[in-house]
Amino acid sequence: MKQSRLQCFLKGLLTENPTLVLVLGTCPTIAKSNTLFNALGLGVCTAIVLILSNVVISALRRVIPDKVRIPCYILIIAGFVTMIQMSVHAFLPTLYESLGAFIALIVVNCIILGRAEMFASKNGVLDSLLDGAGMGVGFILSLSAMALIRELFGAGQLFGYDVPFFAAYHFPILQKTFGGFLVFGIMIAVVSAVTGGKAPRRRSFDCASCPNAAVCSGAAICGESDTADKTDKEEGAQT
Amino acid sequence: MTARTKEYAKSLFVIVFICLFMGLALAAVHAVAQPRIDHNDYRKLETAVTDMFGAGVSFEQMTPDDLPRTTTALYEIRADGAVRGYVAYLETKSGYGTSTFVLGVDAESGRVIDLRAISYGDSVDCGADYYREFSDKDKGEVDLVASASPARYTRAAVRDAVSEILSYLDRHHCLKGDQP
Repeated sequence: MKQSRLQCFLKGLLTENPTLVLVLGTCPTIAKSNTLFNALGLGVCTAIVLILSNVVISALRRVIPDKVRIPCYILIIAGFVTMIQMSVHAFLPTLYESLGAFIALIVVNCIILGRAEMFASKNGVLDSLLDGAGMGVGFILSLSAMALIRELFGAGQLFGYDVPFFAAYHFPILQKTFGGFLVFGIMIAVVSAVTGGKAPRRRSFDCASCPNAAVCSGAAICGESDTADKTDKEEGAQT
Repeated sequence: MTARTKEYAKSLFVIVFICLFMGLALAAVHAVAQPRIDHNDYRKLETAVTDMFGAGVSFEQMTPDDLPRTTTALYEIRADGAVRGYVAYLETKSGYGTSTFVLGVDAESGRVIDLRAISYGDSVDCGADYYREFSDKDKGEVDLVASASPARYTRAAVRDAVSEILSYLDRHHCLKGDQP
């Protein structure tokens, strides 16, 4: 049991890293990974919202009717984002000015709604808290790693301070959006190589467990997907 | 009551419950954060006034009821009892949100002393870019009709806001010397 809870936390760091493996939250990742200060600030804000929304959604999962679950999740997430926005505005005005609209845009970050739908709505409060913390730390780490590369090699600085050698020899293009895409692509490739290129698969999916089973007309497609998964597993077992 | 009606009622109840719960939490955070935000804004205003008019001046908020729509607050700056100038909070709605600027006007010459961005609705770069351009010009000689750039909407909105407050001060005989 303890091992599985540990896995709940650890999977977000590398094997199911939200940014570099699941490729969620790409917009803020590219836009705000130009400096370490921005990256850490946005990463921490997102992680806090992720943890809080995961906990509340998990606690209310038996109460929220299935048909209105997405509006309910959005309400909860938007509430927490507004609280974080107010707090950052009040206590960290420099960060607030630096991040601008991207604090408010946490509401539409796919990582948060994705974890609410995929994990928090199906698991207990503690597991959801650990999942949110793991995914949050994973997001902070990937965003910071990108920012480190872009700020050091693109501006020759770290946290706004000049770094010897790099200050003289740097590539300003890495600070631009193009540089963001370039570094993002390279990092995805590196992580894919480290993890063996195995993207996480849905371990179990059948129509019986699907909340939309009653109204869904795609049972055949789901069946095909299921069969494909089984075939992949069989092939993997043979090799 | 049919099953469907019950389901609708339950959904409505849950949504209202979540709204109330989040609303209460937001009210608590707002109660803590808002005084601090106001304090930060006041410090920014204090710094701007000192930079524009020098230390030792006092400022007092004027409360006219016919301020231009872009001006959220107007302050009278005094030194040794005489009016030295005015500072206005300008709000410009452009791009993706509202940006706030502080405008300083010298009462004697009627010229703009400085314009600085306080908060940016759309992008930090838009405001910062505009501010740099303004700072490079001679005092008051601002080419607000800037060339096309990502910040053009902000520039146009700021140009209108500055024009509005200058003509307002002029209309109300607040400016003593050369008119803008």
